[in-house]
This record gives sequence, structure tokens and C-alpha cells, in this order.
Amino acid sequence: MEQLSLAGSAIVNRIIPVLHYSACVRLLITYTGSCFSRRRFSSSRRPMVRALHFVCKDSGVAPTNDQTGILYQESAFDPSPIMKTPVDLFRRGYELLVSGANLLQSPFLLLLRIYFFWQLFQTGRGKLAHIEKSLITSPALAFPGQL
Amino acid sequence: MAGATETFGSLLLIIGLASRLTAIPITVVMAVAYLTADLEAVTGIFSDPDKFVKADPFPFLISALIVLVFGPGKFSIDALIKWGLDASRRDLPERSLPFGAPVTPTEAKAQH
Repeated sequence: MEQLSLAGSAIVNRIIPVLHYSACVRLLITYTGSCFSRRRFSSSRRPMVRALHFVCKDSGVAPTNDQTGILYQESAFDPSPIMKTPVDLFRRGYELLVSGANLLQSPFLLLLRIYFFWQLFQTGRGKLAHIEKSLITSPALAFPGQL
Repeated sequence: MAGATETFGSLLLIIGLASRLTAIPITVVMAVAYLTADLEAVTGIFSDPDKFVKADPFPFLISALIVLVFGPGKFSIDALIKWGLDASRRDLPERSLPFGAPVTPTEAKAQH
């Protein structure tokens, strides 16, 4: 029983740092992929952070700030610099608006296609069904004997 | 001709098959409809824009232009075909390799 509890505590001691680290990595990746990443990580640094994520995930060791090249004040683990100024707030709101509008693009195009082109389909079908009425009825343009 | 274009073109546009290609004849048909039936609206587009906007072909012309410029979106057969083509390209990485290059790690080991 004692051995069992020892084994259990060993497993827990082994798992908890991994879980803690995976949560940190998730946070890092979330901030890396977020819209603020352009300011937090330069475009040349972002692949390096992702590569570090995979390396450190395999090794089970979290990257240090020296490894990532990020100062602690700008670290993704410290969310305090977010939205400090009204400009940041406006930028965040505008980016949310853009991402929401981008999400609505395809449904809008689908609705537009269905609504207007269904009407056009009915118009065209009516022309084909009553083609004799769609023919030229002006005497000036008609062939001799047509009217 | 115009009726057939409207019927089959609008069907293709609704399901989203060859949308940008189909939007071209629809746009042409609507432009011809404008020029034949609503020539006054076209000539007075700047002096009387309401007449141009209220003409019958206007919503169809604008819709066809929107589809021509922006495409049909993700909910269409075109997007489905594109997704399938991209998936097939991802599944065949050896296409990007030069002829005779090792594809699998075992082949690479065998060559070395």
C-alpha cells in the first residue's frame, strides 16, 4: 500500500509540471496567434517561438526568456501590457470587427447568391416557358410577315 | 439566348459552380438589358442616379459583379473543389521533389 502511494505521488509529481507547462505553452501559442502578436513578436521571431514550443514540448522544459529573446515586460506570460491605452482598445475593437466581418463574408455571399439569383432563375425560366412573348414585338424590328 | 443564360447561369451561381466564369455572361446579359430596355437610365446615371438604381437589371448586375469580384465564398462547390485539390496536393509531396529523389526515409537510407 505504501509502495502504491509512493508510486502514485511519483506519477503526480511527474504529471503536474507537464500539465503546468502545457498550460503555459497554450498561453504562449494563444498570444502568439493573437492579433497582438504583431507587436509582441516580430514576424521573424514568431516561427522561432513556435519552433521553441515544439522543442520544449518534447523535452518538457519551458523556454526561458533568453531563449525566446523576449523581455519579461513583453512576455506572453504577463498579460498586463494588453489594452493599456485607448489606442490599444480601439485597435482591439477594430480587429474584432474585422475578424467578425470576415466570418460573415461567406454567409453573406451565400444569401446574396440564393436571393438574387433565384429571382433571376425564375425570370429566365419564365422567358423560356413563354418564349413567344419574349420575341420581338416591335414592327420596326420584326421580319416581314412576322407580326 | 438571354433567357437560357439567365436560367442556367443563375442555377450555377446559386450552387456556386464555376461562379466567376458564370458571372461574366450574366453581367453581359444584364448590361445588354440595361442598354436596350433602360438606356435613359444609363445615359442619365449621373444626372438621375435614382433611375439607374431603380431599373430592373440593377440588383442582378450588382450581384453578378460582387460574385465576379469576391468569388462565391466558402459555401459553394468551387470552394469544395479547391479544398479537395489542396488536400490531394498535400497528400502527394513527392510531386515537388526532383525526379529520382528519395521519397521515403528508407529510400534515402538505401541511397546513402
